[in-house]
Amino acid sequence: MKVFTRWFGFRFAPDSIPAHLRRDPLAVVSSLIIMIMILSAIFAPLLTSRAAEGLGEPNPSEKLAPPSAAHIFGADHLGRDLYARVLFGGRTALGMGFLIVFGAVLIGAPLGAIAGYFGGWLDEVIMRVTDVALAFPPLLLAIAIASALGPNLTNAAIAIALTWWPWYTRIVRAQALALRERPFIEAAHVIGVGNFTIIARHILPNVLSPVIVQATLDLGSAILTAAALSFLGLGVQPPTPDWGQMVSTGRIYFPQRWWYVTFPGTAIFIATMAFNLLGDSVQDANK
Amino acid sequence: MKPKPFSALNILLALTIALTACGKTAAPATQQAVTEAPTAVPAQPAVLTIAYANTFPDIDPSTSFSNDGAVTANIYETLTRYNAPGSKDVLSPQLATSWKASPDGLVWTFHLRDGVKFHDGVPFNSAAVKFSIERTKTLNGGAAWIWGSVNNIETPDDYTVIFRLDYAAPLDLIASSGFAAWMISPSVKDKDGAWFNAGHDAGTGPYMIESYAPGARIILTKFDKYWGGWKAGQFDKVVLEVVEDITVRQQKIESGEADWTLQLPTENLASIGKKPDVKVLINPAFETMVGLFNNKKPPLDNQKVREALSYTFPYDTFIQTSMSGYATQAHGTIPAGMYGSDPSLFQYGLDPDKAKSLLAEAGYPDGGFELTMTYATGDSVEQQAGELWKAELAKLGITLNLQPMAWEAQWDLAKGDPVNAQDIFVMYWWPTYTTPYDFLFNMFHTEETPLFNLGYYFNANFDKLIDDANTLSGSDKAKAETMFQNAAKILVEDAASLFIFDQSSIHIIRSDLKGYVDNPAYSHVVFAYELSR
Amino acid sequence: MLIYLLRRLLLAILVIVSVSVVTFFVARVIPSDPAALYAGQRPTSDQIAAARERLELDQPLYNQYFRFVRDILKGDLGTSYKTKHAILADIKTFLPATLELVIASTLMAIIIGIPVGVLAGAKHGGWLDQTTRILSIAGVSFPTFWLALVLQLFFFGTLHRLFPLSSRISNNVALFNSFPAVTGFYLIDTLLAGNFIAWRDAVWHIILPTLTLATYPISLTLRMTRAAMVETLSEKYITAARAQGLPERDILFRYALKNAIVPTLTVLGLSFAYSLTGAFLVEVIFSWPGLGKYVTDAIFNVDFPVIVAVTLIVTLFFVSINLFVDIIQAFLDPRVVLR
Repeated sequence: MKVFTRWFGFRFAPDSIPAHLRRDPLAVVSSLIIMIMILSAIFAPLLTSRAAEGLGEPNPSEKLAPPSAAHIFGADHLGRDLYARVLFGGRTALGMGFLIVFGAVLIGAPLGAIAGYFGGWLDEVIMRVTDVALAFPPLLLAIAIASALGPNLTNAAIAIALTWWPWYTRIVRAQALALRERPFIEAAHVIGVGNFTIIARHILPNVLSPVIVQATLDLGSAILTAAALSFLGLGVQPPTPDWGQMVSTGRIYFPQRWWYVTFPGTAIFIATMAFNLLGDSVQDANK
Repeated sequence: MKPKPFSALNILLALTIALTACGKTAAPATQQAVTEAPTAVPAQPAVLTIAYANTFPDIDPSTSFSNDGAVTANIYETLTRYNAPGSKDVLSPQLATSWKASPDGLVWTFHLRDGVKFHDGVPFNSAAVKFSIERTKTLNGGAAWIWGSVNNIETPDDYTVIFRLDYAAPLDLIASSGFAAWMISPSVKDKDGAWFNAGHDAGTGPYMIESYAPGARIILTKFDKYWGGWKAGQFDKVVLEVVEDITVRQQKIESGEADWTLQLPTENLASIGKKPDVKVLINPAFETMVGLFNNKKPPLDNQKVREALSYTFPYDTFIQTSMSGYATQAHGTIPAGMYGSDPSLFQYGLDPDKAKSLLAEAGYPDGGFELTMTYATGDSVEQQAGELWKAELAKLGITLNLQPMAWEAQWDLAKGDPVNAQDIFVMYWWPTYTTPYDFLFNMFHTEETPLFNLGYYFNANFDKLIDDANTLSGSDKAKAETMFQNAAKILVEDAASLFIFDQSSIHIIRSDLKGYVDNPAYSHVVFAYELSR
Repeated sequence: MLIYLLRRLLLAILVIVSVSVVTFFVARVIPSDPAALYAGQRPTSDQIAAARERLELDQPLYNQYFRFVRDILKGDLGTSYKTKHAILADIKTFLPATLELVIASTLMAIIIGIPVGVLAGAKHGGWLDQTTRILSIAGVSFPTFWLALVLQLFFFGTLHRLFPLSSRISNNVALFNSFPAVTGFYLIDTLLAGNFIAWRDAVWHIILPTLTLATYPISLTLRMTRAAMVETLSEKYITAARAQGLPERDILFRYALKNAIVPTLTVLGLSFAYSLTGAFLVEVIFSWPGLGKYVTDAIFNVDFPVIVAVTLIVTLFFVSINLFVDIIQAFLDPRVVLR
């Protein structure tokens, strides 16, 4: 799921981006959608009168109610308002997406910095390990790890992060290689600053900004992959609201009760699309 | 919802929703004007199509112990057959014509049917019986343990078999089992499971395997020399198709591409049943869902707390919401309609006030404890039970953690030290062969190392009562039944477990299918030989 | 060149060995009881103990691993704990179904993705470029499983006779027009048997799952071809060709595409490998009896010999395809070797 942003977005000059982006309507629209998503996740309890249902409290009398004024997205199999579920599901989706890229950066970035800074055999070893890790069939490995750790939110995030880190190792290594030759690093070296202090103080902070931009754009793929795991029943477990899990449960009631899969499914699509569109625009801006 | 879709007379009620909903307009069995698939050409053989929701993992008759029973039951036969509820006798003869037990229940003599041939032409006789059971016992897979009491099999002549047992056991019932009791041709003595699972068979039954595409379908064709003979109208071919998608299964039965299916969303059954071409059959299933309380770990080692919890489960809401009313609250552990069941047995209901006062008596006036409930990953009914219960328990200050696990993992956790095990183990139980002892013994009889008594319920009086009842059931079925009922009552009084609901067996068939009778002893099996269009 | 290829080959072997180690140990730490699974649905304690002994589960993990590797080298992938089937035989049954689906969707990606990508790249910034930009981004943003459901919804009811929603062939063909499974690829087997009724039926069945699975590779191929075209078309030799007045079609599809195809090929290789796992989600919904359904069942049962074996087989494909793409690339564009 990750190839796409990878192939189009790894050269960055973040400073030049915003000016160009303002001229790209798609970038504006996608940024707007992402902002709305983040805000509605944060303020979810204020945006519905059925926050308890959003978090999982059943309301059996409304079971599978079709969309109406009371339930604009209809209700699920335990009568919970789907609008509230989808709204709170946004928290889960963004939270998981964040956990995944954060975890992957946490593993990948230091390795890349070490490889790039020291070079030599250490670089060779780390990069071969990275090559090997990249050659793992990603979804399958995530499935295996998730089922090994037991199905829940954190474990699913860890499982996916464990298959993602090598991408960040590659980016950071490339940046670190370039930084190594820069005068201020050499200066630090000359005055006797230790290697790891240099990595922590000078290399990582300097490579981090492109990594953070990249990680943000990867959130879309992260959300999509997490949804796939949940769909297979290996991700977030009810009553915690989650889009992939809702589509999976809603499948049983499909197609007569189309609303159950439609709204969470659309949410996954819009969230992923918004991040991917932004990623595409950023990459365009870099040309 | 009908409170109890089965009468005390134990009559099989094959009721269609259409019938109850629109009175006498239905009577669909007489209407043949069903639009068939356009491909039906007169010269073509009569085909029965059955859509199952799962694959058939193992079609070796000795080791099969899953929904593959649906396949083996049409290819192989047993010595005796358990009759559908409402029949005059519990058992009827199949490959055995008569049988009898010695007074102490240790020697069983079966007389065999003459003139039966296996599909490969080998005659069926006492040597074949001995071979079949010994093959099953040797492979020791699946349900082979049902023959555990058998010490020795003697074959005094071609049509007599004598079983000598180590301890009394109802061998006539065991011989009717839908697993591990099939008669297999001695010609396959060198063949292993792989040979069978490549699509070969060695039975006496009415059908033989024509082709097998694993994960997709098995096609059976009729065995011309079947001992029961063939009448006009019976099916020449049977397709057992695997259709995992619930939506597609519904579409297939509605369009007539399938004649029989199962596991459709219960929410849709009412509207499906209104269609004239389709019937929804609802019958008791000998299957019950329990939430085994950890009787060895605080706070559930306290009977008051267990009783309180039994008053917190939203039985009615759950059955209405998750099962659309197609299930009944359990009366103890023995499913309704089965020998040994007791419709007058006390049921706990949802009663938060009573629960609160019981909790106060036990020293937990405001709850304040956490419980972990494990259930099988992917089981949506168990999951919903947990979600609904969690909401009720929260009102009493009790936190219920829901933990889905692979079945083996859940089981492994429970078999360890009770103090580290889950507090509540939710699972289904159905009997391997139909006896209340299967429920009472497996889930509640004292065990040194727990195997299925995963609530760790130890009660010597209870143990003695059911053991005696089991020995007695060979000779005095009525007295044994009362004893089984009393044992079930002890469990309810001790609140040994949460007794949740008895499953209904729900099958959806085409209205033009004649002769279909649901038999909960062979759950989800379609005996194609009995059917015609 | 030779050294480059040797390096790639070594890496491929390293990958396969690491995958076998990682999946073996990951699968072994799954909290479950393999002996109980092996012993069957409702085993006795004796049956479980017998199974534990038979499977040598009490042995140290590294011993179990070496035994596993030794068996693999002998061509034995082991047996499923759940079904006791030989896994190799199972994979022979289920792999062709998955490959058929993945190959079909890759072909679709080539047929649609490359030409449209070329045209979009030719008119950089034009309406086709803008439309395909949004469409292809949408294409990679669709949750596969949801797209499958949307297609099902669309073809549900009477329309299902147009495109069937499940299985590889219909019952009627299996009953009255059966054909021998020679390769396991139904589209080929039916042709080998000269059975055009069955062939048509197989084609009809594969359309919806292929469409679902192909959305991602089509989008990817399209975007990559377009990007490569934009770059190539700005090169001097193209300007020279234009100045000579060569027909635009020749410029695009003969001269420019030849250079643009290299990165596209890489993406195709990658997406083929990705589709192998992507197919798992599609198979579940379309009741397609392939490797995906086989392994998801195994995962729910924690049937780890199957999990390990399938992961290995998929990795083998994954790695071979990447190796293959690397080699082709090296021949098409020798600069690759120098990188």
